[in-house]
Amino acid sequence: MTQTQPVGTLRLTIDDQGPQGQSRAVEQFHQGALRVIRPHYLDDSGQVCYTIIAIGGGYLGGDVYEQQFTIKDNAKALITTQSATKIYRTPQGPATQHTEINVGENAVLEYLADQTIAYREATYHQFTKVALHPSATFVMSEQITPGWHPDGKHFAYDEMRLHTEITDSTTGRLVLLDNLLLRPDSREGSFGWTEQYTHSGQMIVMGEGVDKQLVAELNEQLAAHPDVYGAVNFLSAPGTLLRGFIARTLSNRTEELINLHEHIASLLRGRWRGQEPVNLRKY
Amino acid sequence: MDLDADFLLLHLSDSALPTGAFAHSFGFETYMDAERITNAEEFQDWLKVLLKVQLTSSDALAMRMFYATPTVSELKRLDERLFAGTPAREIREANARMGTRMAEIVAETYSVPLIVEYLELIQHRELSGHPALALALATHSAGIDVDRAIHAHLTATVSSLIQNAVRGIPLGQMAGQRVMFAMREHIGAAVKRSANLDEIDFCSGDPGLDISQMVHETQRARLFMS
Repeated sequence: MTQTQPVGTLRLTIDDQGPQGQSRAVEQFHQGALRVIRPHYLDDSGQVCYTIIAIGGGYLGGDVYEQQFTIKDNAKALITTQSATKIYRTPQGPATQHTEINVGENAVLEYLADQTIAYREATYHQFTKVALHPSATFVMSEQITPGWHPDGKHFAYDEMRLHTEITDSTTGRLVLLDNLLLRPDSREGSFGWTEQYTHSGQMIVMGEGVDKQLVAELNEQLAAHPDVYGAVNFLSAPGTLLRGFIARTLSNRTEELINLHEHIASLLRGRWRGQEPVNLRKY
Repeated sequence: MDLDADFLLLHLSDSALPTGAFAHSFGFETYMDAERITNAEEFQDWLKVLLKVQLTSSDALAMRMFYATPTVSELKRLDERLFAGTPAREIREANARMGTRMAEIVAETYSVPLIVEYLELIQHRELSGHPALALALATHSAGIDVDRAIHAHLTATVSSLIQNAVRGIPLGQMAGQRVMFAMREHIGAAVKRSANLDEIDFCSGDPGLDISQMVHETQRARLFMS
């Protein structure tokens, strides 16, 4: 995928053949600056929880990180990060993260990351490719936080690109190409971008349970939220049975976005699987 | 001088072409509702951002990529990526509707190679349809240079949006014409900039503009479908 040796590599394959049908890792490989903490079971659903640790302390210029998560048929996993992903100055070239995700038939992946903080003169490119079986459930959330600059200027990073592709693994059809590009220096005029806010969040949910009624319900909740501005839209495309939604949000505080994303993830797992709310107390 | 090519370009990039463009604000109605667009200056400011952020990396880049590889498989790939690359549902549907109408018009009149196939793929719901691609099929076949084709498409899109703003905000007719003239250099810059973009830039967006288009479907009183 890339010519240079990655600074960190992490590969996890999870199936549902553990004791009492628990999900568990059948293949686990890590190299360099990426590790996982030993798995946890946060409730009695059999869903396994892995926490990713980036031991380097932050991403630097030219760093390449590679992650691969495969969730086999019927397996259930929650993947989170131990702490914020920090992107420092990148004079040697962008820091890059490639993630490949495959979620099988009736399998579940909740990928709930902590915030990504981009500091002064940072350029970060994130590429996430997700292949889903139409019966799979996939929940992904992330938050972008501008790192503080000595002079108090908020947007001191150079560029953030978050490029996400979601395809149907049975037909190869693309259902979402989400190509967020934030370049503070090229901002023009007073419309768009992060409006009058500082932090942006995004959540992508794919699952058979998503319908227009759910989207309308979430939009009502967002409209009533005092500290978050955003919207939820239904996703579908020709040539695939996949359906889902994308939520884009803006706020002035990371916590508001994280809490909102956890609230939505909890609401869905309760409704779809009768599971307890997400509890990401970091260990 | 190729009068037939000129005619095709003027005909298909006429903002009065019945594609339904009059029904779409592409998000400026959200800003109208929030009272952030109340006059010609504010509208022009928004239009510049829409052109620079979205239309350049989606419509203009799609046309350029089709010209580089004018095949059915590339047409399919670009149609699929344009639809998936638009997070706002109303904008996806607006483009699909206008793209279908544009393909029907081109098939009815110039019947250029590929357009019948494109229309069939849209009618069989394998593709969605997009006005930039339907126009690119026609202009490419007529031997019109890619820069001129993109320029015509962006000019038509900007002109339609200005007419919608004149009716919607409302603006005076002459204020609308001043915005149109002021957009001349920005449209030219967008054509140039699209030549320096790569595949990785396709359908780049920013959160605020996306939200303005995504939140529109929940707005209570609406003049426009998007």
